[in-house]
Amino acid sequence: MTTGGFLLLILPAIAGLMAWKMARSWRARASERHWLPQELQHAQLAFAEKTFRTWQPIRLIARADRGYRLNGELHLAEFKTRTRAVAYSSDVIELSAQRLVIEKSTGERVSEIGYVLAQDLSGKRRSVHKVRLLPRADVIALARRREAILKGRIVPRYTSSQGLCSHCAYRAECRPGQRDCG
Amino acid sequence: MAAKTRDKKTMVSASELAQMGACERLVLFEARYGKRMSRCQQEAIERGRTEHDKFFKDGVRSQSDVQTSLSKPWCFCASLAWGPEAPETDLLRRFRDRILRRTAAGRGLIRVYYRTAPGLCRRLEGRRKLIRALCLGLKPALWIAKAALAIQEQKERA
Repeated sequence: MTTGGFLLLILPAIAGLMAWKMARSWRARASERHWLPQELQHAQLAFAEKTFRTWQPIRLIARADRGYRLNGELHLAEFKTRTRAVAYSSDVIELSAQRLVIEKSTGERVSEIGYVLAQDLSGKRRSVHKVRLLPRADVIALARRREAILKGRIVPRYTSSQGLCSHCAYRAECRPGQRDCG
Repeated sequence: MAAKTRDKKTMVSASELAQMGACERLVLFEARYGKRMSRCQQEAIERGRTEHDKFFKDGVRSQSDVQTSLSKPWCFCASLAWGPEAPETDLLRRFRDRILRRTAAGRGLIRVYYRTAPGLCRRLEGRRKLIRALCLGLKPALWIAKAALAIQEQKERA
């Protein structure tokens, strides 16, 4: 085969591969734009699945799903797959803890508004929930309360979620039926 | 590695803290009896991991220079051919950061390269003859990078 013939074969193949890869990249960007809230449409994706650590005021580690930079401020987004399209208080705590760690470890300002992206089990429907994050003092207080619970200094509270309780693997030890007995 | 293990033991993670919002008793029982999960919880976690992975890949596909702590879904042919710290690899890295990243077309090229390289590297790994062929194939890229960087440096000096 001549060099010309070889190039005629290989160049369209490379062009085709590049076009396919670019189409995949555009699709990914279109998918991003589809779920991103209006206010983050022009934000730059700063990090994805990035781990941050801080030792002060508490020893805390967090892996943030997404961080978007807009006007010198970071905006956090947390991805969840669940049957119900809602944001729970645990999501708010997780994002608030991430905010504290990121601010302490990078010195960057993180918005007090976070986003929970809830995807249904089929993977077809996504909904974004805007949440107001907890103040830093509340995150620190919660971490201290957790520590106190683990050391046995505080009696832990029962959950208010019936669904969580009914599927829990510790029902035998927890005995939720006795919660109202005093 | 030892530091990582120590960190894991002494640090509380954001997701562990988030459990306090779900059920405080669960936090205590997990610490006391070890992590225990029902079958449907295990399935949900597995499903969540798969979807999380897809979500992560979508993110890095949409913006290739995103920071992440996970191993990036790409590798570099140059690292495979000459090693990650070799001057040739460093030259191509500088070419990527100083020349290609400055233009939209260059960024597009980086993205295409990042998508194509991992599969190629996985296939070449351990095959010495093919890696030698890769070195030869990358030579023109090296010449172009060297010339482009030299021009760039001249412009910057002027």
